[in-house]
Amino acid sequence: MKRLNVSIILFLIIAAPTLAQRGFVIKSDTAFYNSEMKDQGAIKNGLSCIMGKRNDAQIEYTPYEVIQYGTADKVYQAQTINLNGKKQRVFLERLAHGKLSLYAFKAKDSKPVYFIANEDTLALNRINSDRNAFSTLFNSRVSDCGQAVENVKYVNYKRGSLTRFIRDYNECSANPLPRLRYGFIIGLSNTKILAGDVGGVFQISEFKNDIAFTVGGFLDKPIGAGNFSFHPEILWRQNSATYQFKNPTSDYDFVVNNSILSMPLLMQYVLPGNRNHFFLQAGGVVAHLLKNKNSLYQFTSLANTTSLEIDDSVLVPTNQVGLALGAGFRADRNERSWLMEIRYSHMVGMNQHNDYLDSRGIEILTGFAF
Amino acid sequence: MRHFFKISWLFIFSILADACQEALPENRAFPVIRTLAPKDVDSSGATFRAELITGKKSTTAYGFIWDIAEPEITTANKIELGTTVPEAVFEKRIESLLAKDAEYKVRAYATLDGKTIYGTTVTFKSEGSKQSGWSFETQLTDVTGGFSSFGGTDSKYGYILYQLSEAYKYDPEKKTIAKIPDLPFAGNSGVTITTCTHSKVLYVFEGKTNNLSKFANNSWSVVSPLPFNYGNFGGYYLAFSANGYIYILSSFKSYAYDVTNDLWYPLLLPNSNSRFSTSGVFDGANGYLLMYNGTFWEFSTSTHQWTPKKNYPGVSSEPLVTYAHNSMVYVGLNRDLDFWSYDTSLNEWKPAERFPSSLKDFGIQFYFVVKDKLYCGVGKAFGEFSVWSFEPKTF
Repeated sequence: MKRLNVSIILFLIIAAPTLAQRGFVIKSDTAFYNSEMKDQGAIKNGLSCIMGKRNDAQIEYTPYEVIQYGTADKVYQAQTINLNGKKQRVFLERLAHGKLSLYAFKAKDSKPVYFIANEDTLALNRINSDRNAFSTLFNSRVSDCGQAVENVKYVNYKRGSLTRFIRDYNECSANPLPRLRYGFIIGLSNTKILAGDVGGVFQISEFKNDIAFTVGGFLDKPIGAGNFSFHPEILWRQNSATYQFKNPTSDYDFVVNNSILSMPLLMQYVLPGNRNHFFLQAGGVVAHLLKNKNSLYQFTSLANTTSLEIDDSVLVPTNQVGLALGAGFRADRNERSWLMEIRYSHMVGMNQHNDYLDSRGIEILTGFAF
Repeated sequence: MRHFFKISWLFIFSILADACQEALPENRAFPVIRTLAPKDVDSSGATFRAELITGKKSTTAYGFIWDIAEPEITTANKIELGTTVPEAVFEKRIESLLAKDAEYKVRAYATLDGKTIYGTTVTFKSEGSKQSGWSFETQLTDVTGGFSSFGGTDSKYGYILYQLSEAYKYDPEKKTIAKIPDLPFAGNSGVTITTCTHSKVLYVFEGKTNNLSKFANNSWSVVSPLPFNYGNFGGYYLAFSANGYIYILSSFKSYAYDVTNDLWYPLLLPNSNSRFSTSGVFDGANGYLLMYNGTFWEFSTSTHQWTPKKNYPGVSSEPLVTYAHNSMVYVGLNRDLDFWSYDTSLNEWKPAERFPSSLKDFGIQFYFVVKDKLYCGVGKAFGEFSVWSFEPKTF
């Protein structure tokens, strides 16, 4: 029973805000704030508004009775629109408000349609889904903000993109609109081999850092119109290093010549800023060693002889997985971005064996996105 | 600006080019040599290869050494290629001293400042070589017996006979060993056993019961008591069959036994002035005895006379392996790898091909000749032997 009570409480905490929110209603003659507004979902919210506490008698308003209703987060505006050749009064969801306002309406079994309205005239203009058409419309409306004019090239007929575009225009933000970008990166990686569970002579070794050159490319795909993006990369680097250590009987040279293709699959979060942003990113990394050539040279000296043994067995895992965490700075311009990042990664072998050497590294990367 | 980009790309490419340079072991005061897997391994030989990885090149000698065991510069087969180790891969075709079917370890070496630097060791299975008559036959286990072992043959099989009476039969075709009935005596560590073949039957002289016995139809039987005290002698007897007689020759006593009539005839002794005979061999026409002092005597089966021949150039203080092939007689081995050939027509000794495996631990424990081929059993551990065969090649 106790467990059930906890479940009910948790459900109410999570679901209550979506079921009923404190709202307001503006009628032609009055405006009042009621206790709660019932969120009926995108389609029904466009047709009526239900106000009132759940257990009280609820009042349902039509777009003919109410000019505007909503909550602090969400506002619906009663408007007459032309829908399937018929004029119909509905509630439009206001997505952006300012010099230009953006509205959305979703009828049952239809794709959402979008409208913009000027602050002064309030006359609605439906946004055509055709890129040329909406680009022409936007160019005529945002010509007073240079960055917005530039952003017209990248806005998509999607709720998030349109919302971000109109909001940025209203602020005349200097930020380019988030869009799919691709680019190249170069940098230096400072890798350190970790003996891990590998026994034998590696346990006595203290591996020095190996600095290697890294090159690669990336994609940056915004998630919605927010500040998150999916950021996959392909990086290549060559590690060539010689590590020396010794035990009482022999001297050792561990020679590593590896060529590594890695694919970090990162989520990037861009902190708000004015064209110049800091960002954080994290994710998983998979890597494959195109060349995995490492040899352990063992030199053993006796009275008048020195003998050599070379162990060429694969000591570094050919397939690796790991984690990467990074932070950096990104300067966004219209056509390209420049970025710089410092990243930490830790890689281990993909198989279950313990006889491989792991690695960790710090990378300093810079790149351009187009 | 254009220049800036050009310089930037050049910088990037130079870093990339540097990154593509392979890392090497640290440079050392001696050459670091990796021995590579031999190539073109066939019945004519193998090509040994190695490469200098890094380190000092100014050496006084370099080359390859190879052996059945881990090769050491003082004991292994060796070929010296020059003084200074070349920078690139170096190789040498080897067409001798590679026994057929033997697993060899080979490594490059270099010497400088009085030290020997060994390269890595590579193992490979030889298919033989143009000049080598040696072959690895098989590995025998569970061949146990008391005290020392002796070899013999009935011209089809080889026999391994122990002083304490255990006896085994080796089939050279199948390379298998089988136990046979024990000897008709149980000797101690001082008992001398001498074997010979007469009419494709194995005959055995022994000092325990002082009899001549034979092994036929899978059983032992006494052929004849010996007419002298066989065991009262610390040296070596040579026994062989010729012209219907079985000869038993030594520096102590020499007899001819008429097998048909069961009669013994005393023979002259070589006038060697030596402590005792240590080895002997029959080449199909004459018998040869090697003395402790290195004198080498020929016994004529037609005149029954002894003739001194050119002294043996090796060490003759212990019983040695002996073998005759065509007009050549071979003597040597035991714990020493040296093998000498004696040309009976020229009365000349020459070095023969040395034994391919180290003999320093147990040496050759038995040997016999079957169908003109010498078989040697090298002790590995108690009851374990490596069997090697030898048949000289003409080249």
